[in-house]
Amino acid sequence: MELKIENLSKSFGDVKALNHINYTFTPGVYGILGPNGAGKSTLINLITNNLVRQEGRILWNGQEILKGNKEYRRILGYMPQQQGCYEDFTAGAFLMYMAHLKGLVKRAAKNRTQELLEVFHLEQARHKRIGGFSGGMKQRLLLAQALLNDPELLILDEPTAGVDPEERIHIRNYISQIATNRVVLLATHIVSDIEAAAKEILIMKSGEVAESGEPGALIAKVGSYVWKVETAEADLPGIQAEYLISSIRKSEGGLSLKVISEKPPRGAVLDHAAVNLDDVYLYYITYQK
Amino acid sequence: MECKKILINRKLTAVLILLFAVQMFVFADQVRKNDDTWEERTGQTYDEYLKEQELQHIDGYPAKVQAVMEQAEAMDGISIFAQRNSFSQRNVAQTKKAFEPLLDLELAYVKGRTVTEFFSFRFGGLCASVCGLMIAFALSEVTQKNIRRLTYPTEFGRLRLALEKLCALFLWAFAVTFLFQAGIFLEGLVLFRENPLRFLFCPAQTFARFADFPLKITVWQALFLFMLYRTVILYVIMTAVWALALLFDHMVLAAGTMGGLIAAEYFLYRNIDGSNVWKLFKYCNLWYGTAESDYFTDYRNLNILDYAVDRNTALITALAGVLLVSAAAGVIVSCKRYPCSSKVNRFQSALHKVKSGLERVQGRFLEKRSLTGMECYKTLVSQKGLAAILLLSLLLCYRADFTQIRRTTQQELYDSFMEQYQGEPGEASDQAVARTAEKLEQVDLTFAQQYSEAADADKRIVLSMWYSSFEEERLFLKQIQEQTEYLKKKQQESGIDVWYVNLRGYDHLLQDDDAILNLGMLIAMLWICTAAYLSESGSGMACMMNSCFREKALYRIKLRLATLIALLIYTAVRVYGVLSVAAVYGIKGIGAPVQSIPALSHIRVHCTIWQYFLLRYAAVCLFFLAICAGTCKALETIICKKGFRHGVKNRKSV
Repeated sequence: MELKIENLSKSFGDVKALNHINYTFTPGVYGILGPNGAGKSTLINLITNNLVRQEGRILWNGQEILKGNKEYRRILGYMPQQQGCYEDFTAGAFLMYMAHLKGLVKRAAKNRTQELLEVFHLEQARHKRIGGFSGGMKQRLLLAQALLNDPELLILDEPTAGVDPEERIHIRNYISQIATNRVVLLATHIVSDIEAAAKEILIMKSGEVAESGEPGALIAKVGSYVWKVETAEADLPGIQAEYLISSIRKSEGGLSLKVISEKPPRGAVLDHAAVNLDDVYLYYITYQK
Repeated sequence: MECKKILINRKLTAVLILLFAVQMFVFADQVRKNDDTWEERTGQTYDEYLKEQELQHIDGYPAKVQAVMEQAEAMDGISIFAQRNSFSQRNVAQTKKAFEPLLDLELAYVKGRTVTEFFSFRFGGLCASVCGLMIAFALSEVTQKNIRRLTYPTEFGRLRLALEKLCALFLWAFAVTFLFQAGIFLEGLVLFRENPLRFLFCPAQTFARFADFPLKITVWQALFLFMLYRTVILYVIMTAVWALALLFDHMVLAAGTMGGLIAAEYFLYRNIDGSNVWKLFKYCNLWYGTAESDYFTDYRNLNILDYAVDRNTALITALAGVLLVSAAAGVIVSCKRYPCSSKVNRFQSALHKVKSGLERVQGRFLEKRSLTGMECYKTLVSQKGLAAILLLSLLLCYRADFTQIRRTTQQELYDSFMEQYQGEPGEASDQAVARTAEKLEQVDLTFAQQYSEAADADKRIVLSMWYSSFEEERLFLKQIQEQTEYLKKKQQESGIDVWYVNLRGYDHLLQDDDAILNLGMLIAMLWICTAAYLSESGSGMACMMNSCFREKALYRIKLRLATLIALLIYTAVRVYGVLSVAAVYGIKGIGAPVQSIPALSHIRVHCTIWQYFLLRYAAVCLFFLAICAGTCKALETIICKKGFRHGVKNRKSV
């Protein structure tokens, strides 16, 4: 089971949305991070074959996806970023509809619908119109539809946006649990979702993969650039103008800052600070060309 | 900003454009029908008739105004006007006062059919009102509760927003009225090839339509005043709808109440007699203001507590009251209501229970359906395809003509002849025609002889009347002789055994002239096609669909479903057409060769009448279905494949 991207490019007019991307995905969760306009959604739309590519190849188990398009769609599960649903349908009817579209036979569709409604705690809302759902409920419903055909390649665009913390943890755990035998691509702004579940992380910037690797390795790479600085409140504007600050906390002597810099910052540098994925993300987005 | 909200609402803009196009089409169709019918009935063009009417009006106008003055002078001598301070006396006095400035008015004929038709066309006002209703609902933002959550905590936001909405309602009332009325006026100028400068500066009373109009103003001033009137009426309707929507905080309840009010007003308008004491309700009525234009062009005083009140003043006063109450209610509700809970709306909880029950039934029903069943539901219910079918059915009922029409003697004679001799022309039919010809010849001879012998004028008049009583029989003979001649000639030329068939029904079937019905049918079909794809226009849906295994099957189902419903619509409308013609005129002799109908003499294929009509309908049906299929394919590309991402090309082009 392997998804391989070779030399993939896409432009919208003069804007280069993706620039010669190469990557190979094997079973496990891949987190795709990046600011708005970095090319995450374009990459996902190209992989789901919703966009025309200008250059490059996408291979599923060695076969170009355009050639085996129908079979490719049989193993694909996709949850888009936008919460577009048939507002007039009930949750159960919507899942049944999507199950029919995914080619499930009636009995299997019914069973799978029931199962996923339970997994995502939507069984109470089975007979309620989607138009009355909250953003989080819609998000869970869209995630459920992506899993209807038990896909080998699962692509999730912002799956936990608008979901409450309890449900977010539940979804995160569920994704980790099912990712053992499938490729899961997860694009998000919420770094903590990826931190806990991702096998590898791709940080995208201006249509290119700025950095990729296992979360631990990335943290280790950036570890030496994150500093803990104690400073007076009056000096803060000066430091802010010169360095990238990932957190500011009040301390006894004034302020305790977490500064990201390749060189030790001026002032009272205490030590290297504990690094998390937010710092990694900020480092690559801000400093790496 | 509030005005702009309507412009950026694509659905609403599309409906506005559609209604505008429909009213333009209906106006042109009405004019054409008027012309044709008039010419058919009288042999005179409608323009000539109008000119006669206008000339008569201009000749008689000074005398008419003079008569009003004289009647007022003489009223003391008439018992019913003698009572001081009575409505009758005040009415006559006020009428005299109103028409006094018109005594010295000098009128001259100018061609201006545009003005006459403009004030006779009622449909435009109704179209503008429908647009107004929709704009008011859109501006109430009942379905966008988040806006209220944002404005509620602001210091003056709620009041300001409410006042802005009232201003926007007025501007839109003016814009819609101006757009719809100006559209009709300009279309009139084009249709009748008239130069507006020739009549715009003439007194309004130049036209017969303004015979009872008491203001001494020019035509352009009258037009402007009329637009202003219509704007005010529409503004009142829109403000009332806006207030209702805010009060109920529920689209369906507000629309239902508005529907009830419109129905009640229509009922009052139709059922109150003009001379009844309740006529205030008839004339101070929004329906009346919207559907009629004689409130503006005619002069009439209403009896209000024995005072003679001008109908326009009464209407505007009543409207001002409704406007004030609606605007105040709207502003108060906008400022006072909490965004999340509403004390005003007592129906919500009961409604919620009913809604939940219905949702459960709907959910269970839908879950059991196949993909086709669900697509059908989406098209007909979610995307309001049923509404299109319902509207078309209403149009069908409105145009229904199953009543027996009154036949002329000529038509009766023709029908009874065809009843007796339908089939190939033979000896019996020839003898019947010959007998009629002989009888009429005898009448001619008798008339010529007796007329020349008649001594006095009275006897001659009686003789002329007797002679003209055979006019219808002569027309029948001429008609039947023409048909016989055609049949015999056709038989000789082509060797086809053509029949006598009653042409009246077939002529109607061939005319197919119910343009409104055809347009309604086409709109309903296109509505259904669009509805089949519109649900996919929501962001994200098309992407999900395209990543599904049965994507192509889905688009095939959509196409099949839309064309099938279109086919059913077409069949129903045509069956209705044939049935109504059969009920009114009778369709007999359908087994005759198609060339038996003179209008179809050019057909070279040997087939019967029913076969021809079947083929004809099938061909038109195929044409309609091709339009539907083309629309579906275009929508599939635009909505489902091309349009869901900005600047995306069809992915099949990879």
